[in-house]
Parts: sequence; structure tokens; C-alpha cells
Amino acid sequence: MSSYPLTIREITAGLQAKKFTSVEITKHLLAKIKKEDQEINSFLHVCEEHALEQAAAADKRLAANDNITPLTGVPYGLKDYIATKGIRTTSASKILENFKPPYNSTVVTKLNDAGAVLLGKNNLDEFGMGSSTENSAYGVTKNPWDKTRVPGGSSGGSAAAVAAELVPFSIGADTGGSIRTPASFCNVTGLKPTYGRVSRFGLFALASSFDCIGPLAHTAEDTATVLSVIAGHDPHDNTTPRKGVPDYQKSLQEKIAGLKIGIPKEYFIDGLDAGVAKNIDNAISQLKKMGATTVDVSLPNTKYAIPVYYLILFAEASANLSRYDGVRFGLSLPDDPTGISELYFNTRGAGFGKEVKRRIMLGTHTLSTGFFEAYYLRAQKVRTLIRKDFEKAFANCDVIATPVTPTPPFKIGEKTGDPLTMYLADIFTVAVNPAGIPGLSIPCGFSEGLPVGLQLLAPHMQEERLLNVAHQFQQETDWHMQRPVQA
Amino acid sequence: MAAEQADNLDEAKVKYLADLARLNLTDEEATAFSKQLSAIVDYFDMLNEVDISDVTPAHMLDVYADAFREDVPQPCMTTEDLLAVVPHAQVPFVRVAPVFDN
Repeated sequence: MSSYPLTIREITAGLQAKKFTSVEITKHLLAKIKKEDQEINSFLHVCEEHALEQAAAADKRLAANDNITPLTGVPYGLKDYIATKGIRTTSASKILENFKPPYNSTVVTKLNDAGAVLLGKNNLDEFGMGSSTENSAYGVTKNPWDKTRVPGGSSGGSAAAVAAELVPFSIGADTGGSIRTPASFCNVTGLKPTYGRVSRFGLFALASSFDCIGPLAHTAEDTATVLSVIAGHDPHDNTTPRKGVPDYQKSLQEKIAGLKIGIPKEYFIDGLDAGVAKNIDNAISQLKKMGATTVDVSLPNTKYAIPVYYLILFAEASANLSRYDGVRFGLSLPDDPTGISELYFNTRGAGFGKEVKRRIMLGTHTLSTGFFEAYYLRAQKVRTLIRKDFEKAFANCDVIATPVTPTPPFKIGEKTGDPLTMYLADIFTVAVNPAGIPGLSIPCGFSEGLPVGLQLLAPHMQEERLLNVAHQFQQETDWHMQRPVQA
Repeated sequence: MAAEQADNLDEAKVKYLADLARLNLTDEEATAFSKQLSAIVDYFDMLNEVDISDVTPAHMLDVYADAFREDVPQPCMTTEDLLAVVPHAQVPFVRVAPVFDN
């Protein structure tokens, strides 16, 4: 076959109707990655042999009609931040350049069991620290819509790989917007599930009270398919509640007439790009046309979300990253140190990039004696206020709709000189993680040819509601099916 | 906190923090970081204007109270698996540089 379908649903249908095999589509995508990803740099490494083995096994399973799932034989990419047994996992850091984990993360085990085919590991900002993928130690990923611009971050490789049609879906992780921002910048659908909905066992921890794993795909329907496979309780991650996983496909078809959409005024501010604002307005009008109503809500502590988020993140990250010490795994410099200090300083000094060092030092500062109460404890208290803001707002609406980012994708290099400016770009995504609620980004239009995403938020464990609204929106619009022009 | 503290993130303080965090820094890094970290901490001082007098700090434990798992034996990684990723292993040990070197 010369061309293969893009979405998981169509690939599954093609595989099950024997129109093509998993080995065929896997070979096709591996060749496409080889040819087209030189420039985009969405993959850090491709595991060709492993992929072909998995594809052959999936074909056997399909032929024997043996326990077929909607992901059996379907290729995918994985943020290189999530452990794969025997396959390099670098977190886009020099400190893990040659690291091959001795175990699989729970999401990978679940995807293996479902019969999905891992093609390779997607680029990211080093240890998830960034909003543009410019902080990767292995070079920036380019936005397939405009290769002079960033794909967003930190799951920029995942979003770009889906947008460039190199994989039908990729697994990312979201600590403060790292799935939603790249989804918005690359015109794909990206879901940050409720905190604890998906096991983080095997995710390299950044900020443990924020980190979430979730899917990026072409459609809400495909996103639902992947979430059904990766969600659920895991004894290895004690933040995953013992709650059953609903069939996320089931609720997709419900009509949204009567849905109450909350519009928080704090997200429609002066700095909001006019093109973004116009597309968000249009998307909300579209939802109203489909029978939804809007209601004004207020999230008064929104302006504190950036300091709250970053202060807690610095603290948690500086503690989490203390494990990279040159002793047990990863980079170890020099080969024959005279003392443990020499090993620590050299390994961490050479292995970590600038943004990682900045955040570790800020965490060290804010947790040090005399500063803990002023920074960390205060941030955790304001976090309570942010969480309560959402609880109050959701008393009056079913979902909240906002922009994902204040601007369309920015130029590569535009914000790298000033870390604070880069942090401020996260204004619309960071409040969600301290609150622990789910958030979804869906394509909703273009501003001067660049993608704009709509963010939908719901109360804890209400992923079904988000996916339902997004799916219904995607039945009436085709923004999500717009493709970047191939150069 | 406020202004006086932000001023404290001078190059000497940055080098002190790098020392605590066991990071080698170049002089150029120390200079650049001093400016960048001060700007960040300055901006974050806005949290001082929030009234937190009756607020309890957030944590996730209240949401997830059923975290304990049953105490049953499980398969786990072997010593060989773990030693395979150790940079300087002397099977069955991890070789570590002298710890009391200061």
C-alpha cells in the first residue's frame, strides 16, 4: 500500500479487515521517520528491530483472532522520559545518555499487553523542564507547521511526531502543560488526565505532586482509546486510586445540548494574542451552536498560579534529581574519582543542562533553612486557594473553556535568553496541575497559519466529559484534520 | 523575604547554592544565573500579597487514602539487572569513591 490511514480507529479497522499488516505499516512509518525526521527531530532514537518484532507478534495475534484490542498492531511513539526495558531512555539529558533501564514503566507494560508497537522515543525538554523543547540536550524539535518555530514543550517531540504523521499517537507527560501546550502548538489532541488516573511507575520524576502521563493523538476518539488502555490502579504507584476505568468510548456519542461551559474572565486578559482570542471565541460559539450554554465563572487566584507552580516544582525537582549522582546509573565522571564529592560535582556539572541547574538551585534555595516557610509552605497554602477556585467554579458549570497558551507557537530562540519570560508563557496551563484536575487541548483554528488550541477542564476523574465534548466538537469541525503543508 | 533577599542571589550566593546541590558551575554560568534567578525570585514575591492566615497547605494525601497494597510477595528485579546499569560495578558490589574526602 502506498498510503496508510492516520487515525488509530482507521488503522485498527484496516488491520482487522486485513487491508494491510502491522509489519507493513510499521515498515512504512519507520521509513518515513528515517526520511522526514532528520529535519523535525521529533525522535531521539528509533527501535527498529524491537518494533518489527512487536509488529510481527501483533500480526500473529490478529491472524489468530487472539485477544485483539483497539491498539493491537498500532504503532506509537513514547516521550523519552518514560522507562523502556533495554531501550535507551535519556530524558533528553546528557546525564542519561547511554542509560538502558532494567525495567518497563507501567504504561509500556500495558501498551505491550494491548499489542501496540513502539517505534521509538520522542524528544523533550531535558527532564521535562521547559515549554518549547529547546532545552533538549539533543537539539530542538521543529514545529511541522513552521520549522522556524517551536513545537511547544516539554512533550514537543510527541506532538510534532503525531502532527508530522510519523505515528498515530504518542505518550507524553504533563507537569504544568507539557502535553497541552505542544498539542496546541502542533494541532493535535492532547489529554492531561486527573492526577493519579495513569500510573507514573517508570516516569522519571520531575514534580511528583504534579506529574501526569497522557496521550497525544489526532482525535478525541483516539485519545479515549489510548486512555482506556493506560489508565487504572497500579500497585507500583500509590497515587493511583482503586477506581475502575470507564469505557471512554461509550460516552463519546452523547449530545452536548444543555452542557454548561464556564468562561473564567482571568483567562481572557490583555496579553492574549488577538488571533488566539478570535479562534477561542469562535470555538465557544460553535459549542453554543451545538446546544451548550456559557456562564461566567471566576478563578481569582489565577495570577498566582505561576509562582505557586514553579516554587513547588523547584522544591520537588531538586529533591527528585538528587538521585543522579554518578553512583548507581547514568553518567559517572571522572572514571576514577579520588572522593565522592569529585564524583558528584563533575557528574552533575557536566550531565545537567542550564535550565535543570537553575531549577535545582532554586529548589535548594527555597527549601533551605529560613526560606522554607516563606516559599514552599506559602506556595502550598496558595495552592489550596487555587484548588478551591476550581471547586467553586465547577459548582456552576460542567466544563471550563480557556485558551491553552496566550500566543501561537513562537520562534525558536525567541524566549531562550530569559527563563522568566519562558515561565510566563505557561500562564493558562499551570493552575491545572496544582489542582490535580484533567485538562484537554483540542485544535480549534489558525492564527496566520499557526495552530490554536482550546483548553477544556473538568472536575477530578471527569475525563469522560472532556472527551465527550471534544469528540462532539470534532464531529462538527475539521480543525483537527488539517495537515501541515509538506515542504 | 522581599527585595533584600532577591539581592542576596548574587554570584557568591549562587556558588553557595551550587555547592549545596553538588553542581560544578563555570564563572559565566554563575554570572548569568545570578541575574536570572534574582529576576525569578523577585517576580515570585507577589505571593506575599495573598492572605493565607486561615489556609491549610495542600497535599494530595487527602485525595488518595487507600494507597496501601497487600503484603504479598512479588517478582522483582534481580541483583544482576540492577548491577548492569551501575557505572562502576564490581559484581556483586557497587564501587563508590571514598566518602570521607573532606
